[in-house]
Amino acid sequence: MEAIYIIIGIIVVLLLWVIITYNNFIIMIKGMEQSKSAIDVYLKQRFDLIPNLIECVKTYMNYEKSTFEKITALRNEYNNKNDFDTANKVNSEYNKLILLAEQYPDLKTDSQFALLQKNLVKIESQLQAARRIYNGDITMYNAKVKTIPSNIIANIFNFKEKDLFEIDADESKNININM
Amino acid sequence: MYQNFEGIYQNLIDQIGNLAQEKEEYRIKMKRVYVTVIAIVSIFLLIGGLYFHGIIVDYSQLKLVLLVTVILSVIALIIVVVKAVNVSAKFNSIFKKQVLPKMILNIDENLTYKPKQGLSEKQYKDSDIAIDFNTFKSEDYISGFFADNALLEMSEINAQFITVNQDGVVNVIDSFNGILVVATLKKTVNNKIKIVKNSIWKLDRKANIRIASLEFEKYFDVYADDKVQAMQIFTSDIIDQILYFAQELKIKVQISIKDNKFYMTFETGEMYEGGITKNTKDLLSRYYLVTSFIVDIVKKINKSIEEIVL
Repeated sequence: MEAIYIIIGIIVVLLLWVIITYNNFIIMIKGMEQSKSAIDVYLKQRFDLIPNLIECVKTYMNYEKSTFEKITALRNEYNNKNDFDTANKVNSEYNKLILLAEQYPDLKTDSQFALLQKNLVKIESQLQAARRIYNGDITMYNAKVKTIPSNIIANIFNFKEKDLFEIDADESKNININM
Repeated sequence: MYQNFEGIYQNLIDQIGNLAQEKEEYRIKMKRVYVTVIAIVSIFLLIGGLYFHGIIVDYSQLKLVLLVTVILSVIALIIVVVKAVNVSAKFNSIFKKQVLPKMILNIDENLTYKPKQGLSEKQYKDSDIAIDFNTFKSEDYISGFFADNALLEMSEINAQFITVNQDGVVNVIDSFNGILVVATLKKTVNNKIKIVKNSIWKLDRKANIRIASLEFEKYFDVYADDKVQAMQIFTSDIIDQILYFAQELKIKVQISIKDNKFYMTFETGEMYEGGITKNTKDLLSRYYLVTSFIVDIVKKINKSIEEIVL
């Protein structure tokens, strides 16, 4: 009789552990969604400056119209999809444009461009902070997915590792632009 | 920053020389204390031997001899111990009046050192990282104004919780013994940020921030009302520096930012004391590390906050 109680006790403890671990995974996933949404906010703020940027640069730079259309199209695609791959594509084109713009001394003295740069710096700082928070949540989640004993629950309920968010800083790459 | 200690130590060579003289003097005085103790024990053993071998037969004679010996022993001990203590006090005085002020000035020319002053109990309580106490002592006050009148203050504090039970037994618990830093920030931060010792039981799950560093998470929990702003202020290199203190120097650090004040506590134990029996260079190296780290962190935090548009 005593043995039955012990077995029931063990089963109850195991069940509680499963429930608690599962709930912790869900809480972590919700946390990650929240921090991802903060990144989305700052990315959108950054990309919302694209029309202003195009307005500033097209007066000073002989840029093919298709290049501007490309970046605008990518931005619209990001607004629809909200995924990091598209964000990185937009960011890559965006960085190329900024780098090129900074090579024009006349453009640098433009007050609108100066205001744009100030806004960019502010948003960049917030974006990097949001990225660190998101990656922190991902790192903790991935650790739980891989380590014993929480990996047992992860396998049962199909919780998979997630990728960190890295936003490209393209300043060091060679830029090939159709002029 | 940390490699500059050798240069600073070389600048202090004259003062270190004075300390070395006092140390030697102390060593001689302590030798006399040990010799006196050995002599006293030998005399008592001799008296005991004389009594048990029947050379001193009269018990009242023995008592008289013992009494005289005890009085003379106590007087001799007091004399040699007081002389040793005086040397130790002189050593500490040289340390606090000559060595420390110069070292602190070398760390940053804006800093001044006042050994008998300290931060207040209210400043410790206002930090939000104070541990329960009912007795508070503070000394070794270091302060200075940096650019734009940002004030940095720090001192050694000793906070204890003393209780007396029904039987009159006094129970003393050391709540905190180490350095408290209070820095006025150039701008007011509309955010409450805390970096405290890691715990399974989180103070506030909603305000808890995950740093993308499992190493950092092993030692610290971070809480903030505005998480993004907190991460803008605590950049990666500041986080690495804080982790260095926890990992390499094994010093518990806690940080709090409230309004326009930045608080830090370092559980270092006794600080800024001479330690006549200890290696002076090792002591100075430790005081230099902690002090220069504090100055560096405060400057970096102020710079971070200035760069964030508030």
